[in-house]
Amino acid sequence: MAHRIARVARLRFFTLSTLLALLLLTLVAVSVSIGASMIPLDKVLLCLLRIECGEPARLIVELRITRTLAALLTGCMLAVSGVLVQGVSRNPLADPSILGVSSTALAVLSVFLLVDPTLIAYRQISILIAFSGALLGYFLTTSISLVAGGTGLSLILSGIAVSALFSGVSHILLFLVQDKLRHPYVFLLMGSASRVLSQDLVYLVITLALSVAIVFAFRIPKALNAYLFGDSYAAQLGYRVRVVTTVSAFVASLLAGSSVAVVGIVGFIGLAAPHITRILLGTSDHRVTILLSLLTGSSLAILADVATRAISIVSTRGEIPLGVVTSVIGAPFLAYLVIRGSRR
Amino acid sequence: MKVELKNVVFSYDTVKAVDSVTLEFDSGRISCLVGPNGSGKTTTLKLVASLIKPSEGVVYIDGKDVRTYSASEIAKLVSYSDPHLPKTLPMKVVDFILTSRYPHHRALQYFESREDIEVVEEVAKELDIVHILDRKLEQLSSGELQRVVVAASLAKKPRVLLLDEPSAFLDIRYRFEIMDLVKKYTEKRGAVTVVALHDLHLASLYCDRVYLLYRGRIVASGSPLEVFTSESIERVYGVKVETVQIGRSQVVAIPVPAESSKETPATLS
Repeated sequence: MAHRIARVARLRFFTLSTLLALLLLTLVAVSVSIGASMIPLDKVLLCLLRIECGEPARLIVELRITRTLAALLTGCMLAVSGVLVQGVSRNPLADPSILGVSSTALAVLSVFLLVDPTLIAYRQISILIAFSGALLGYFLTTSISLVAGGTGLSLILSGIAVSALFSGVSHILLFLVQDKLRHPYVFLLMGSASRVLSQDLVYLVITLALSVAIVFAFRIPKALNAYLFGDSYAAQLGYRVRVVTTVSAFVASLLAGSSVAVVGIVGFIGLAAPHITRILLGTSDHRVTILLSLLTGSSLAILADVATRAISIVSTRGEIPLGVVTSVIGAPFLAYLVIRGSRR
Repeated sequence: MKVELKNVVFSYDTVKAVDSVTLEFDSGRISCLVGPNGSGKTTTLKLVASLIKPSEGVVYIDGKDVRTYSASEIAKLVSYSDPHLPKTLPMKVVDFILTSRYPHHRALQYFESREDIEVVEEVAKELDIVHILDRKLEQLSSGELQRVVVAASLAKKPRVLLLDEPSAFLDIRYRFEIMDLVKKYTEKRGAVTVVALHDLHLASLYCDRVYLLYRGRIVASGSPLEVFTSESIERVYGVKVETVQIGRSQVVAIPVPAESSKETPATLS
């Protein structure tokens, strides 16, 4: 029985990884082809493979590849951040935006923008600022929750309070500096991949790679599996609980903070991607959910980004933010999965 | 192999949960900690598992101070099972039991080995939980969950087995089955087994040695027959009891409610 379960689980993981990887590749191709000027899929492929590419098509493809990769990386970052935050808080409702991590990151970044609006162009610095803001937010939320009794509910409620306060604060601050920003400030508040430049991608790749390296170096996946069953359970398996929780919170904040600095606050992916991954795999085993959530998170983000462009085709008022779409397409899907999951 | 506590004191804030306790647990035998709530049973188990450090005194495992062991050595050697498992994110029973194999993994091992799965299979058969291995933990009844917790403890193959209330939530059949298994494991592996128990009858059947705890101190120790006298139980629990001996070793303590112990005038008249 145990052998059969292990075999089925392995098969399930590899099948899902393959299918989701194919889905992701398809979404990337579709994402490059859709926009104000459509490029047929076959032309996109020829262009990407550098077989044949006209000058106008090449420019459009390059622009769209940049924003598609930005969406892809943001999706990966938010998904891993979500898995870590949910594990470390042992709370299935946690997510970097619900815990107020994203909004404090943006609020702290906005304070610095008020002082010097050109900072937004220096990605390394804005990533560091947003990261410290994210850490601050995580610390604030968990402290309030501890004072309020340290239950799962108090964590979510204090997260909502912190997040409401600091998204309000960021709104006010960004409203004040909006004239000095190159893009509408709502794109920072609700996220958008459209203003990401190709040189920004390097910073996203670096933070994502660094985070994944830290997660594996500290053996966080196994440690979180043990940690789910209580502090003393993890301790008697030889894990140092303080180290596990600190490293996980640190990495989750780094991921959420840097995504806020580059694309703004994109809600929901951090909540939905881990859940979708868990329901697909049928387990919360972090060794597999962290890996597979990279694929689900990036697919969700690209899908949402394609939708923002699809809407901009029919509208004359330009693009809507990415975060709006992630909520609209993701929430009903999550609701469906939750209902299905609870019936099984 | 032996576990010893020498003059061990542990206090939560100012309350001494364990107060200068000196004792010795031998291998191949089941030692039981018995006593009312808050008498220091769980604290003693946690001290042996080195989940908490004594404020005074020393805990020795195999003649060595526990502080000289590394966390991973202790993790391989000792298993402590807490009956209260938080069930937050959905985990399968088999995934949970497999976590107890992590201390035996090689340094860079990410997934479980064939051997890990075989150990789980074997333990699951013994505890009659094979049919629920594929279920989620939150779908189990409390009795099933209790067996799963004990299964995880045994799957670790510890040389020091610490069980906190392994019979809680179990019906009479599984109470005996679980203790039979613990006994078998203890004798086969020569493990040092320490069990905190509330059920005095079960303790009289399975414990080789009983320690009666009261307010962090050991007030009586010895074989179940020696310890379970109505005087010692009355003193510790503060309830009048009548002890009945069945066969050679079984002891049943029957509490006598305060009203019926007094001969009330109403029934006489």
